[in-house]
Amino acid sequence: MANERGANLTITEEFAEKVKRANFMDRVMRVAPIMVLAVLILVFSCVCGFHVFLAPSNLVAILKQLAIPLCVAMGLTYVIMIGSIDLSINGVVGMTGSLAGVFVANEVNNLNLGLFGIALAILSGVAVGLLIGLVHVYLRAPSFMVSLSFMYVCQGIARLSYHSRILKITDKTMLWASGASFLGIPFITWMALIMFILCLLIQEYTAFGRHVYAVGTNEAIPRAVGVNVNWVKVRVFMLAGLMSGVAGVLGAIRLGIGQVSIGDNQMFPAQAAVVIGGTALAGGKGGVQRTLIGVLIMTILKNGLLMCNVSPYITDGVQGLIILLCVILTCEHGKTVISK
Amino acid sequence: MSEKTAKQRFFKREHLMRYISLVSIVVLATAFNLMQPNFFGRMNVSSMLRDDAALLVMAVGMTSVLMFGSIDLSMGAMCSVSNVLYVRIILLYADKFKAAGIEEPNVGGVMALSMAACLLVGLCSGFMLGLIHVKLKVPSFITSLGFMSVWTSVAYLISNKAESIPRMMKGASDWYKNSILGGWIPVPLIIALALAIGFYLLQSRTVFGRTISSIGGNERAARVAGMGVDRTKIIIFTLAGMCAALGGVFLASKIKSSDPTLGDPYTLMIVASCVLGGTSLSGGRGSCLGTILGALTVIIIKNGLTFIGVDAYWQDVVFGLFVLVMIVLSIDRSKSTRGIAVK
Repeated sequence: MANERGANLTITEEFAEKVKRANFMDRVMRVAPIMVLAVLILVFSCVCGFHVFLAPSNLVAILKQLAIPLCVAMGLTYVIMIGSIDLSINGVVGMTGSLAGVFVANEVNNLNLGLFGIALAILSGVAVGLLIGLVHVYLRAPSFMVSLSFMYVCQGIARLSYHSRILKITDKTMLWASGASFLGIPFITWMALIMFILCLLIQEYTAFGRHVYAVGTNEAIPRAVGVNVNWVKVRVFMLAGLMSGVAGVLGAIRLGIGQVSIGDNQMFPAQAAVVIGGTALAGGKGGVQRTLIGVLIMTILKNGLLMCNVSPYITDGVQGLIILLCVILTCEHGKTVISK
Repeated sequence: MSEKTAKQRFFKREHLMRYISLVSIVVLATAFNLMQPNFFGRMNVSSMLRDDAALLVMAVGMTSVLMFGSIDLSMGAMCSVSNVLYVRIILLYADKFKAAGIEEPNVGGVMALSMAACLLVGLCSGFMLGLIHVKLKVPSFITSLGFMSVWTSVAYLISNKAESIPRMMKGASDWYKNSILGGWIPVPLIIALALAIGFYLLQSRTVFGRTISSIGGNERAARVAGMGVDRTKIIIFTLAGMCAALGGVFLASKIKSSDPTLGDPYTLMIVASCVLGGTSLSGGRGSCLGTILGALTVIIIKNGLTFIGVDAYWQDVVFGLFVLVMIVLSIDRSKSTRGIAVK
């Protein structure tokens, strides 16, 4: 095929041209989010005043707001990198948050499992991820539909677990964790950062991490060289469940209560953070380090708009527009492309 | 030989889901009636059918979208927007009439105006959704997910709390209570059924309608054959947006009030109705007649679980699992699709 720039290119030259263009786009995608982040910080600092927006108290507030979206978005990054999607986040985070409240010491029941209870709550998230993965992979159901149904199931389980008596947590460890900070950074942010490093290590230094990219690019190739593609996918969904589980527990720590609303409004910010960070929805491209930038952008946007007294409802709608815009910019265009 | 069995299997699949919804309607209704003899009382039946009307109106719009293999996840949020908008406009006029000292205002005119406004918003939303999906090649589920977020916040911006239709304007919700045949068949259900049958005729008897299922079967072939694929898709998305808006108006009239989160659970209920009615999520198969049965099944389950006293919290779990099973059953896992990656 000839393009308008040179009608008589050889196939090799044309291929080189194509790779060059792809590399250039890739570099732009890498730099653009950082630029957006810098511009956002600058704009909000100018509008709200440097001493207000960059005050230590506001920076700590931003770090605290960062923790839960970061956890959720990292799990989602893996799912999006294999080309699937996870819409169950609101439900899973709400469920694990509620269960964390149920299992540790609280004002309603006598089930005092302590740290073991927290582990159990996180494990319930992993179990949901496993189920989503199994149904999606082995029964060949589209992931968005499977996870959407599981969102409702998990929200139901969450509400069942505490039966409209909101659980005020009295567990000493969790109460301590909600107020603790080290080097000025709150405890829950430390937890999220540890999870981030863990995810980054898995992504860069394990065979599983590299398989995720291969599966996302073209799953026929890893299948042909003997990678168990199905199991890679199931593990990705389990990881997403784990991260949502951790997010739910952090939410319970932050609020001091266990209830389903911990999960409300978690999915759209995470979705937006992943795509704005530069992880393509088609799969095979991206990574958790990019998502960290995306989460920073979303958190600062939310915090900044709040500081400028913009209605929070508008902020929520802006997330949808950001998702749309990023997907429009990154998805494949052209006359022969078929999108469903 | 193998060709024949393949064909037989195809026909079985085609009709399996429709039988499932018919059988489950009969079985569920009988079971609920045995547990609670009042289940078939006139009050409950007409209440169920009134719920059914609102769901059916929206599910009819979704059926056509699913038939060409796309999906519109923003319908629930659109329904919320139209719901709050309808009540908001009525409240606006109620205040105006009160200020002017009019005791018995022209409710019909206000109703028509606010309904038209809602439908217009639905039309614009559906048109934009279709345009972005078709022209910019963005997958429909992610486009509509973005729209869902936007419309949810728009609904909150119009009214961030539940508002009820005032007494002087109760004509705007009274029409929903009217019924014929001795109070068994409510008027809104007749409108919904007319809409469903209209859509069915459009799908099965017109060139435009056949184009929809051709796109779902094989979009590339439909394109090569010179069918107006893009135009068809955009028109269907626009119609689906209007159906969602109409559903919002129906719900506002039913509960005589508005709520910015009212439409949230409907997204899954709509998809469930279509899938139960035999519409495949991968496109090419389905009909609005099946959706009529599907919507009724969903309503019987929802209503029946409440009626026999199942905990409201259990209902979410049961319903979510039920939809999951239905979707898994409806998916084509024959040999011909084995190589295709499911995302």
